[in-house]
Amino acid sequence: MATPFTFEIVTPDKMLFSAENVTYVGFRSLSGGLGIKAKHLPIIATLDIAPMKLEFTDGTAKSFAVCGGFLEMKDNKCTVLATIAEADTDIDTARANAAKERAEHRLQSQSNDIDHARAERALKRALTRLRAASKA
Amino acid sequence: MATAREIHRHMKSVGNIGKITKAMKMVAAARLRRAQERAAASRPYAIKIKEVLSNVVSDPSILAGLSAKKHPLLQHREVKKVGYLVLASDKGLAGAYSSNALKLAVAEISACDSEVVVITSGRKARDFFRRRGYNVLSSHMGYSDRPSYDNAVEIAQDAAKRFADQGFDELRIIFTLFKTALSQTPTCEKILPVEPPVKEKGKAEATFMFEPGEDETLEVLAPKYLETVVYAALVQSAASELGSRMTAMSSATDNAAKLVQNLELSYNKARQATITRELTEIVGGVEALKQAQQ
Repeated sequence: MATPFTFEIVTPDKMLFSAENVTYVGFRSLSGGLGIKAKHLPIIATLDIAPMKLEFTDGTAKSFAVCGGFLEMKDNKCTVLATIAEADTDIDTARANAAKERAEHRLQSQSNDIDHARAERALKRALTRLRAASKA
Repeated sequence: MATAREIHRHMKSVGNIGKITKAMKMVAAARLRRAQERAAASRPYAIKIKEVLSNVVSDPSILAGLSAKKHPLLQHREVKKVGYLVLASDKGLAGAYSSNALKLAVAEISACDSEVVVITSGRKARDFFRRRGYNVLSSHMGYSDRPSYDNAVEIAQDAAKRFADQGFDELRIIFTLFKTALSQTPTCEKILPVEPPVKEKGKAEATFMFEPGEDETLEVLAPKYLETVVYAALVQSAASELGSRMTAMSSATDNAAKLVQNLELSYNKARQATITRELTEIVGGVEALKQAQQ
């Protein structure tokens, strides 16, 4: 059995999730995909807008939609600091779908008075939510 | 002397005001409890992000080698213009809450030798500085007693942008520190340029790997840190506002009750006086009739 470690996700409003029996965390940092298991070297990673995948000792898995932030692993304790994070079970897929369509529509409209970067970020957030939710 | 009817009317209106202030007090008390819970809930994130920041800049030499372009929030410049971010309430009826914060702001500003610009949060702060002709760069409002993290992000991004564009060379925040419902202290703190917290000595810290790198981490981390500082100040101020409102409304309710008591006394006196007068008139009338018959 894989060695477990402590894991928590903290957002500005609350402690979103914490568990003692996590064996693997998969996520995407700004420089690419990474996976962390127990006894990883101390690391601070800057997160991209992407789903984060957890695996537990009992073989189950759980996904989170994480929109930027940081991950710190130290002394077998992994802490994720995210401005926005949602568990796969809490995601409103209908809303995310609507947001995705809205963002796509904006990007296609090609007019100059829209904030391109902002629409792209919105699309990325929506896709992240949908991908995280589909793994639930 | 007022007639009994007038006093009675006054009594009724004071009693009604008392009912309103009592309701406002209870609303403030309930919201205060929620605000305190929120303040407690936001603490782990703030502590952690501070810790991460101190880990990133564990070596002060990192700061020296930063490029001004990539890390505008960490740049120390010669201070020619000072910005003040003043937090006050949107609504009144909160005792001296807003005026205490604004008083401190004015004292700080007049003690400052450099040119001063102001960013306000809360309607009261905006009105105050506008009326007095200060240079108000921007105003944020509409959330003072229940700030969300998004409000903090909005203010922090606005401030960061102006700081990077040389709108000011230093930013100080004026907010109200919540101690208890009865005691709040207006406080002034410097928040820009970002000063990474210094780690306590003697703690053997592990050296971290950075992904992608220290430079990039800091680039994302500095604005986030500013957001948490602003959010903490907003949450503290909101709790102070509600605490102050609760105390003010509580004493207003007490005062109304006292006033009603006094009015009741004068009402009874006036009523009694009318009865006595009427009696004397009747008795006097009877006596006069008797004398006329004799």
